[in-house]
Amino acid sequence: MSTTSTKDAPVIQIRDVTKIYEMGDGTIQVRALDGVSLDISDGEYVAIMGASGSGKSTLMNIIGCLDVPTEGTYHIDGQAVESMSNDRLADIRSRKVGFVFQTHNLLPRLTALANVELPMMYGRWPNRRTRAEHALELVNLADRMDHRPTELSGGQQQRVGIARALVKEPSVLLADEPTGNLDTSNTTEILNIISDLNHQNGITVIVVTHERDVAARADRVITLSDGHIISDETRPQATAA
Amino acid sequence: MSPLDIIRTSLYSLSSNRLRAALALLGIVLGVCSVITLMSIGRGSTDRITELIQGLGSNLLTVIPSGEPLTLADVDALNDPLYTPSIKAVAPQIGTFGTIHVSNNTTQTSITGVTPEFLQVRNLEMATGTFIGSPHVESRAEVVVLGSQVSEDLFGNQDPTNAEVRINGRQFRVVGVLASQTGFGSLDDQALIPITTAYYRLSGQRIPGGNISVDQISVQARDVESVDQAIEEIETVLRLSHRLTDADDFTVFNQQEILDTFEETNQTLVVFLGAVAGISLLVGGIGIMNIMLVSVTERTREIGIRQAMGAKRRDIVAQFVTEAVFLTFGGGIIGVIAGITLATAIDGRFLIGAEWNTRVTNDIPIIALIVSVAVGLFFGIYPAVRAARLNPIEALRYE
Ligand SMILES: Nc1ncnc2c1ncn2[C@@H]1O[C@H](COP(=O)(O)OP(=O)(O)O)[C@@H](O)[C@H]1O
Ligand SMILES: [Mg+2]
Repeated sequence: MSTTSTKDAPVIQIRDVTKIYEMGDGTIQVRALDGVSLDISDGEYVAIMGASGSGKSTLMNIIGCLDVPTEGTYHIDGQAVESMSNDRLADIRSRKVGFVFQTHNLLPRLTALANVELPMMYGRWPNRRTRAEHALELVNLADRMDHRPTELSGGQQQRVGIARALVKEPSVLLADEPTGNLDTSNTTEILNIISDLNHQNGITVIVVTHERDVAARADRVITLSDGHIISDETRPQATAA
Repeated sequence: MSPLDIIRTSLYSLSSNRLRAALALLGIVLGVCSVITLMSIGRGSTDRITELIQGLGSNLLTVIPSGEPLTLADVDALNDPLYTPSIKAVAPQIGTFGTIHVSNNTTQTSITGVTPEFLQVRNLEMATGTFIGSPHVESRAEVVVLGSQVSEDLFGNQDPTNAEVRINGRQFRVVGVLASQTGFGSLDDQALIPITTAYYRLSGQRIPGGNISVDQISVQARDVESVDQAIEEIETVLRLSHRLTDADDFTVFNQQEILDTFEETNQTLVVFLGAVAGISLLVGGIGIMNIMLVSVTERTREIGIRQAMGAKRRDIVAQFVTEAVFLTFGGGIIGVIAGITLATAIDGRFLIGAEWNTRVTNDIPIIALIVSVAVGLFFGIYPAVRAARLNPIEALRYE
């Protein structure tokens, strides 16, 4: 690991990031993240673990540019996010990061194909249809393209969600408890797809989970507690692979 | 986001709640429909009244005294073709009120003293009998021509020709009945007698010098083009015969001027009607805003998903404004069709105690459509901006 880190500038560089949520007119403050620093290099497969409420989703939302830190700095591909306009943040969301949610978050009245085209529509990409079809083939849904989310099983819905995230060839794939609602066989299938994207396409993957066997797929496991990183372990065999 | 994508996205959202879209549409349909109908009624009634005034003849001039009385000597002077080549006919009149009595019927009406020229100058037609002739005027004959309404009041459906009536106690013979006319200055409720008879037998006023004073002189110009020339001739002749040096003691009214004044007033009415209807369109617009606000709240999660997928604020604004404009434009088109249908249907009909005249001009639907699109833009902006301001994280957590 140390041999490659000098060569590759980190895709994700987080320094002393604090996120404070204010509620009840600022009378109640929640420190969801408290002084988190973290580097993630290109092509890493990272799992984030921790108890419920430890700040995992908050960290993911900041990495995915859905939210901005209260304090501290965050660079993605060398660009400082905290000074970005709303439009630039939207641009990053439509190009650099692919987000997979625990609940699939598909638009219910659009077909699987149209849902996958959505981020490309906002990014004004060419050849949207072909790309979307290709992405759906990658997640083995070639025969379900014209189905609406309600006509698909939970595992299939989540695969559409993955297709929608990977269609834009993102630098980083973010998945917040992607298998939280799935049974074992669907979980395995989803994790296989994500692993393939990391191993074959070299996409940086960050997965939030509280399941040991999900985290076991990753090269590196970061554990959060009360908004702090309490452990950050890189498994030796991963470096060899 | 390309314009085509914006349109597609908006149609997608509208189709996801058809009933609501239809209800929002309805407010605009009613607003536009009433704008079209009321403005067509305004235009139509202007046309109708213009038509009625023009029926009097646009080459008709009216001279009234404003100081010294006008007399039959003035009428003779105006009749001299040497000085007034642009004048075709001159018709003086004296107006008075009287009671007409026949056997057991009595009616109160205006009695107008006229000369034979009155028939031509005022474009009158006889229903039965004859009009007042020159011999009647010369001999101060006690003969009367009845307006159609007066004839009906006194004689019902019977032909009153040669019947005897009493006017203010004097015996008159009916020589004819005027054909009924509609509109401005209708003589249906009048009786006409020779001007000399009116002066000597019915009116108490006398002026020195044995002349007969008249209340008003109607002058018919040769044609519409010679109206201005005729006015000048009237002024020259009357100034001479009245030996005037400074201010005129008479006034000449031009039918065209009266028409212009009227059209101006009526234009104000049309605008007023349009404004009243515009208020209903405004109410429709507020309905659109209301429904869009509900829709924004209901679709918070959808907005969050779109933002997470990279939608910029302007993309969200564009989507919601386009939705609102689709609603108002669609409502506008249906409203235009409904309004034109309604306006055409009531045209020329007698409903709720009035005759309706409508005219749909091309500009009315175009204005209505532009206004309805503007209403959609105006009332769609606020909900759209509210949607775009949503925080993506909170929108995604919204249940
Ligand atoms: N939008 C928010 N407003 C207020 N508090 C929040 C918000 N989002 C998260 N929190 C709080 O921040 C803490 C961390 O939340 P989260 O990052 O969702 O934890 P995790 O994903 O690890 O379960 C929790 O205490 C949660 O209640
Ligand atoms: Mg979470």
